[in-house]
Amino acid sequence: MAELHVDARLSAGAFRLDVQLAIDRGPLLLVGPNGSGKSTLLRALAGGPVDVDGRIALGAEVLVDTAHGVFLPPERRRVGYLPQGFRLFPHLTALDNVAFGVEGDRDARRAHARRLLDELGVAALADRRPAGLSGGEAQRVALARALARRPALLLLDEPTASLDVQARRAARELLASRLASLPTVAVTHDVRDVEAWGGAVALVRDGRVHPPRPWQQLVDDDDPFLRELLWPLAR
Amino acid sequence: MSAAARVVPIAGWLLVVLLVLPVIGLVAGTAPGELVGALGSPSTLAALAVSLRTTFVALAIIILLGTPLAWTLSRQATHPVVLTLVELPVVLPPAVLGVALLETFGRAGWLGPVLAGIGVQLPFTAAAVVLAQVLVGAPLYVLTATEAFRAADDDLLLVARTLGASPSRAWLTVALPAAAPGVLSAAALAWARALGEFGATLMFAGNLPGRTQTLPLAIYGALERDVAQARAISVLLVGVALALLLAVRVLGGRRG
Repeated sequence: MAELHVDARLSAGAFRLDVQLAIDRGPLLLVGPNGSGKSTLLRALAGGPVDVDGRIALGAEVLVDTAHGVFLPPERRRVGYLPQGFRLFPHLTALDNVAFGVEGDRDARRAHARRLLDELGVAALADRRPAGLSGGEAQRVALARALARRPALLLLDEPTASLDVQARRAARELLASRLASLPTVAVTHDVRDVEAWGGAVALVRDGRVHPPRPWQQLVDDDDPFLRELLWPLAR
Repeated sequence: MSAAARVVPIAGWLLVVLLVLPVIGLVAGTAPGELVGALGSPSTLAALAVSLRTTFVALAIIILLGTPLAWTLSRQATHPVVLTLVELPVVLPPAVLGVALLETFGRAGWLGPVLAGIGVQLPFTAAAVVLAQVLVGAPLYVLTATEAFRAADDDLLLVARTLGASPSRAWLTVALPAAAPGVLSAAALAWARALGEFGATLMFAGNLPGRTQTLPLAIYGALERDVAQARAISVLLVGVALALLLAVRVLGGRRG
């Protein structure tokens, strides 16, 4: 059985996107032109303000089934969401950002958050506010926050895009080690992410999500966007 | 350095001097002893009490009604027509607002008979003062708070929701605190504007000591018989304005 199964039409304003997807394990990487709907798809999976007509299932759990009036709100979906710009809560310290979603009493939540920050190598930043973090630091704190509730699905929107070259490499390697064990849908414009993370690549374009395939099968594709994205991997 | 490059900054600083000069003139001309004496006079204290009472009621109304509007406006690009309607009182001359209030809520105004029918008479009451203050303060609050609420965008709230927060908890523990510095600045600006309201108040609420005479009206009244008192109240209001601006700067700067 597929880990994530989507058969739906998304709409937000005049925008439409038809999605037929089934992923088992390993990350699904969404690529495509700006405005093609990659971020909208992630928001729809997270339960954000997007109209969904169809069915979305995560493992045995049905998140959306419009035919049967099912719509799970975001707080019941067990997804970890890392939006563009990371969107850390500006009024909370790094530690409290991570502890926000953890259940239990205050001490237990903070202890769990501290462990996660430590795992991601940013324990020293626990008491800092987001305004005092570099891009790479904010990315790790936001990732720790997204992992804090042990999600069944991780949603990453251009997680390496705003980082400098060194932070980007570090973030890419950190994510590569995580993505193997957790079903993930990630948006990226960086061919090195595609190479490092493996998994399947789906082109989002012209109102639909093309069938996901390993990048090795896509390097010779005729699509001009894929050619421009993947040429460094062509041999 | 070209001549223009030298002249332009000088021209700019000339304006700063022009802006600050009257304030310096005001403060320099007021002896500290005179200030304390004039501020302690019964008429000043009465005006201070009226100002505090009315502006805090006005601010409460502005926050209560303005916050939902600011939040709603922040969720999408504001429609130019709505924006214009909200901004209008900011650019209208206060005297025009005074006439408009009389024409609407005055005894001969078009809502006057309706109000009289339920036993309400607004003009020349403390409620009229509050109404004038709400009218000039609310637009500032709504426009500034709308910008502040944009910091709590859909993605920020969606993250909070995926972390287990209900819609109301996401709003209270994420959206509101994220926007709080800007919303507090908005409230401070609106309060300062309400405190300074003069023209519309004078026309719609009159200048009745102890009832509708606020501090700006007391300055106006004192100018004819006791310039020292007018000066003292003015210095007090300069101090309040400076303290508020400083608070707004500190609040704004905390976000870095």
